[in-house]
Amino acid sequence: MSRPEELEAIEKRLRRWEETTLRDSLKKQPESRESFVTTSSAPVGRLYTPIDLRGSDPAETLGVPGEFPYTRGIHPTMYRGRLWTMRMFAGFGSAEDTNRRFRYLIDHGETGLSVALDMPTLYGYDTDEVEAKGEFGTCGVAVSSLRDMEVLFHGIDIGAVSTSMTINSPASVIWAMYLANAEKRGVPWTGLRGTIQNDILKEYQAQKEWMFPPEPSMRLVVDTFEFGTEHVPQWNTISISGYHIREAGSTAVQELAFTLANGFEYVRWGIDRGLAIDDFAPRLSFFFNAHNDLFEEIAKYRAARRIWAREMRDTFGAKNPRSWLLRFHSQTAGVSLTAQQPEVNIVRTAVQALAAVLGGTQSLHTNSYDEAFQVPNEKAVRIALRTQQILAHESGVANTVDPLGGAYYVEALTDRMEKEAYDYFDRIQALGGVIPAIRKGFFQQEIANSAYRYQKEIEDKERTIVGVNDFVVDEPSEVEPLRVTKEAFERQVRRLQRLRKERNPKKHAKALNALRKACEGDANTMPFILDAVRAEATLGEVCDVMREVFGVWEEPLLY
Amino acid sequence: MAKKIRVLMAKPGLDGHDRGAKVVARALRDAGMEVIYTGLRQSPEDIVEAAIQEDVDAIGLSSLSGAHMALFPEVVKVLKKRGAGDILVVAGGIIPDDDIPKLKKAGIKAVFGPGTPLADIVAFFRSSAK
Amino acid sequence: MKIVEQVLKGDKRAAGKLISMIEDDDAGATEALAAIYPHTGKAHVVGFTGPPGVGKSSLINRLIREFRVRDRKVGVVAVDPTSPFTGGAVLGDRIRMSDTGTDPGVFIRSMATRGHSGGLALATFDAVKVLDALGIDLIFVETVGAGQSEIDIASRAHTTVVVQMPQSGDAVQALKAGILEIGDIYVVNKTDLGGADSMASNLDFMLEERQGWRPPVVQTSALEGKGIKELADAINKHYRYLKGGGGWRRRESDRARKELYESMKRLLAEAYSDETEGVAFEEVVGAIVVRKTDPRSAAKTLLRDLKLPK
Repeated sequence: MSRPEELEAIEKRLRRWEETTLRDSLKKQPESRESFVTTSSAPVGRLYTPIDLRGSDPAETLGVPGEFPYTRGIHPTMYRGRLWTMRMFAGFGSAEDTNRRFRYLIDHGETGLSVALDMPTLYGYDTDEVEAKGEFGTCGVAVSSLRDMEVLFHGIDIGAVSTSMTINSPASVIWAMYLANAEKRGVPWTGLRGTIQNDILKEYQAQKEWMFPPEPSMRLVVDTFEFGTEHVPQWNTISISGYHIREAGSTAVQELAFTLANGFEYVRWGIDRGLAIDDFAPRLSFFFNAHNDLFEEIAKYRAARRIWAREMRDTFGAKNPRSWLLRFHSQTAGVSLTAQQPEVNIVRTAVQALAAVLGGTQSLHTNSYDEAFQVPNEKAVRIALRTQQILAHESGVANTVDPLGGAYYVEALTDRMEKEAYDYFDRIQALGGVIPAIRKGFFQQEIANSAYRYQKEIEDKERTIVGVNDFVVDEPSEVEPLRVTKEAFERQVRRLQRLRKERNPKKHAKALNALRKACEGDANTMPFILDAVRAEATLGEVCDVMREVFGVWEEPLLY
Repeated sequence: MAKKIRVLMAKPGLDGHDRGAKVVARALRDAGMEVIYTGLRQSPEDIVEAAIQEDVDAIGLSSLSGAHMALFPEVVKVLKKRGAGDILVVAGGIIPDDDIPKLKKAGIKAVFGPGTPLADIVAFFRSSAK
Repeated sequence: MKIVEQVLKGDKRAAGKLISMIEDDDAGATEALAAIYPHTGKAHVVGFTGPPGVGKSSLINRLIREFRVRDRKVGVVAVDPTSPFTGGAVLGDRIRMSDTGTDPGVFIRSMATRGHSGGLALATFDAVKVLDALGIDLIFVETVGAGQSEIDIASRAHTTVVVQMPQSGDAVQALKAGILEIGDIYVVNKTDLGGADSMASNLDFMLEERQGWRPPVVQTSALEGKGIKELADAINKHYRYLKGGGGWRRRESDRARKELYESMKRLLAEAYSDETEGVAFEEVVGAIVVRKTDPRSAAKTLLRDLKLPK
């Protein structure tokens, strides 16, 4: 913190500057706009100085890397010790198609796997169910059974690679398949590393892929916390995700606030279950968006780390410093990709990825330039991966820890976003907490309002999107198409039919019955789900049992 | 009273990405139209039933999951079967260029991809819906 | 008229179109309504009123399912506000009633308030008549909000259901007198929130002095599907009460009286709006300005000579 007399001197100097240099300059060259705003429409000042940080003590708000409050990063050496994990979200068609894509990515230097599942899988339906019509493999890979999981990871060393799976409502079932597959291959669970997204709250708020009402869904989530702590200690049992909130149209502050509010809600549920906070909190991980506005994004990550650490230590009373760490994956903003002049998306993605790295991410996915059209083709994915490699190895940004720490603008923005997040926490609290606020449609409404405002700004040309509302060219976009084949679908359906014929019907029925009883009671469901998938129950069958017991969620829609 | 344009905005299939559908719904509302939003996870039969009861001039379909080829033409087919083939059907979402002619052949009147100005969508509804 | 025949045969497409004609004040609507009118009067019309957010739509959704199990054909007319600035509206009620999907025994129509010349209530109940003629047995009318006009619409039904959610005792005491007078059935929804028992007994106490039909207070949770059967039973019981000499005829007369009066006003307004464009009208305006006559006397003269539109 600058001393009062220093601040006074700076203020004096600034006033003089405004009356002389600045005024003369503005006379000759007025600013191009009356006001400047971030991607989230938050105001941006002309110049940031120590005055903007008045009252904020860097020893307290910044500290040092690897120490509370972790504003400057969770590791003392950050990328000098180990680079972030380059983890490309991939999945389409059948397990065979995606297995091939995984190996391709590993061959090109990817350091972690990330599984994209298709819509039916995300909703707990098998490929051949009527609800799945037309959705097989189009935006992820179909995993309907343990056999699909086996094919998906065939020839990949699951004891060595870390695997992230984007699965929410049926997360415990898909995780059980991963664990059962490891078991069959003789890989001990204690050595498995990876993440299941398992963040149901943001589904109700933003992504809208759900099965059950909030309470039974939360129970399933806490079941995985409990089970993971005991049996799969290196696994992140949740990835609390702001990414989808942002994609659905929120501002950066809303993404920050809603995600952390959800995080606190999971912690409360874990504690209510009787779990010791320091047993499960170290396995909570996060997932944020990396959008267009470089500094706003960087400030968002830094504020997130600081808020989480403080709340975990001071509000929830966690003692283990590992419980205080906000570790996060990031992905560049899919919603920012344009169908117009798609190659330009490579540049957008590079800037967004830079924000994630300067913000201290633990792992990163970079989008491919063709994703405004389809699931990416091989060439497009490779360029996206190369973008990360250039940042890591050529740009020099990974050579020092938190290079923007102390920048007046970044620090002022971090402080402001932190404060605005707390304002949202108060509003959510006033509505009775996260789940009542979901039932009232609060998050959904806030997000839809922001999305509409953003679109209006583009429409009114208050915001320039290169190639869309300015710098437009009239030429067709050329993107090499990627298609899910009919053969892949047929192969998948055949595998499912064979499984239903070959499995032991008695064992299968017994496992599903036991699962039903467990769901009706209050036992941890994980062991029962594991038994069901070991008995080759399909995803749809397991989820049907749960749907029958738990009911299905209906969205409260407000305009 | 002048005839109001009524539009049904629907999300067929499993896809939950409703940002676009909602933004377009609001834009049509702000242009003075009445928009009936059906919510998520509607089958083609659900959509057509709602369109008939609400007597809309047009149906807007939105999907980002890639299931459009299986679901959009089906809506047109069911409309015709129910004697409501005069209701206009338009589409938006993540739709590869190659699929656009096929959708148009199947009776989808217009396809609005990413980046389409809202003003264009509003103008289309205004000039095409009787 | 062909559209009338189709509606009477149970054609949903025709019913949808006829409601649009009513909403658009189409020239053919009056004739069509006249043609269907003899075929109406069979359906039991149930109005729902209550403040926004108490869960009326979700409750209706549950009731639709319950009455479908009881093999009754169910219709809904759900009214949402038109934006006063743009004239547009997003009508989202359907979403909360959508799980009956393609059931042929269900018809849901969303209406925006617009600026109906004969009043919103008239247009709403004209839509109800179309559903009645279509062969629907039970028609729910839902309005958003709890203002005077919404209460007016709900209270034109045969059975008026007033929906509330648990509140503090003081808040119950402060309930609008209008609300306490119009209900035939009171619902305390969202029992899952707690506090429903005391809310219900407070309400019950306040209804003690009602003569004749003693409105029941039903506790429901639309969220959990609780109390729905009881509410359905209460609606049926009120229907039997009305039919058994308890005022069906009186309710019909009340509504007929209002509709007749509103139809006259509407007709006058239409005729009048033509008249105001005429030269003669401007001459009278001039006469008023120069104090040859006064507005009230001039109005009397004008109306005496007014020609109604055919």
